[in-house]
Amino acid sequence: MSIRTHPAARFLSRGLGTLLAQAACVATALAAPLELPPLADPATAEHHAGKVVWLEMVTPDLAASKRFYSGLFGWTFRDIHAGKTSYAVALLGSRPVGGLHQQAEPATDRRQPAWLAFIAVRDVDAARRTALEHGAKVAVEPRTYPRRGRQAVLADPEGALFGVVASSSGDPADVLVAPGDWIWSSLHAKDPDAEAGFYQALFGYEVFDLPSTDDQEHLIVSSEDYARASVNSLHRDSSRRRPHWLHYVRVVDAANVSARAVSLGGRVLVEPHLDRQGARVAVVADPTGAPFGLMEWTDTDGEKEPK
Amino acid sequence: MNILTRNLRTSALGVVLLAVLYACLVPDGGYVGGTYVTSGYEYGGWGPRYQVAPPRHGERRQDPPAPRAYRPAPPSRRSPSIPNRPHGH
Repeated sequence: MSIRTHPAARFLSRGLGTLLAQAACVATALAAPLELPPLADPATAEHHAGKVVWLEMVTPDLAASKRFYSGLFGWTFRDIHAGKTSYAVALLGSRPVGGLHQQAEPATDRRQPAWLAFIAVRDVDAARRTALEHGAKVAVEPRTYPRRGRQAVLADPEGALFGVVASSSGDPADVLVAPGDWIWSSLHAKDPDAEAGFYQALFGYEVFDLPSTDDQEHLIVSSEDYARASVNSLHRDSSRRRPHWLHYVRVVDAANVSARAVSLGGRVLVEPHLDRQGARVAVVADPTGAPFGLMEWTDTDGEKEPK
Repeated sequence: MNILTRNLRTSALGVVLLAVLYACLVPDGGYVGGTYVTSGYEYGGWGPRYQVAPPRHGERRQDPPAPRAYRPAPPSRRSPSIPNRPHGH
């Protein structure tokens, strides 16, 4: 026996279900902002425009990511829940070094977890305007987070994603970070010249061109007389790869950490090798595919004088 | 009349479904529940000449380049390095 329902009732039933689904999505999108940790604790008056001050990643498997980074760098995690959002702050000792956010969507060839850097600015809205004037797009409009400050996410003229943040607690000090913390960033671009010009307009960087032995461009951007990142050519055989930022964790032994990354379910993308002036560098991917770099840097490296 | 009502119903449902898709989909990164969702990129294929590390203080620079899209630092300036000051100083 079939039960017949009035067409209006069927429509209302379907429509109500759809509306509820929509309301759930909207409610999620409008949920109270996360209580992200302050960038400087205790608060400081220091501001370092152009410095990478925070990194964040979306992972399809938060538990697996925690196991990997805990095993690799000794990070511990503090969970934050806001509505259905699962977010974990990664700590090196007591210092927050990044955030992991769960998004249950498997990685594909066109969609892959990645670490996203936030670069310090004084005024996020002014940075947004400047970026747009110089060919960027807004990926996420500026938003204020309690204790953190105001931040936005932009895509540079070649599409590489980065964030800007105006910290309400000041910026972390310019010191040599401990092993296990983020130490360096590199931008890989089709046109390093133009990209350096864009970031110079946005952050007021000085731009230094370095000698090259490989017919590729290698630029260094700096602020306050500290190198902040390198800007490099994408290799010529890389037409299928998108311009992107990559970020490096300081390690004592890149070969050892690379091997450990593999034993924890990651893989090596660029084997450990000597980079410029003796810094040993490797690039690995975590089990979800998120790439990041490893870089050896000894305490005295920065004190070496040129010959 | 019935056809008109049915068309209106179908259109209304279509609009609602589009709204749902708009609210739920994050095509190329965005915030969901207040958190950023990155979109990925293809990776790999770097050769042995992968060179990205920061310079040491005072690394000599190339000859002044041809006109560029950026303002190069003055040739007299040597390239800076990363912070070397230990914590607590």
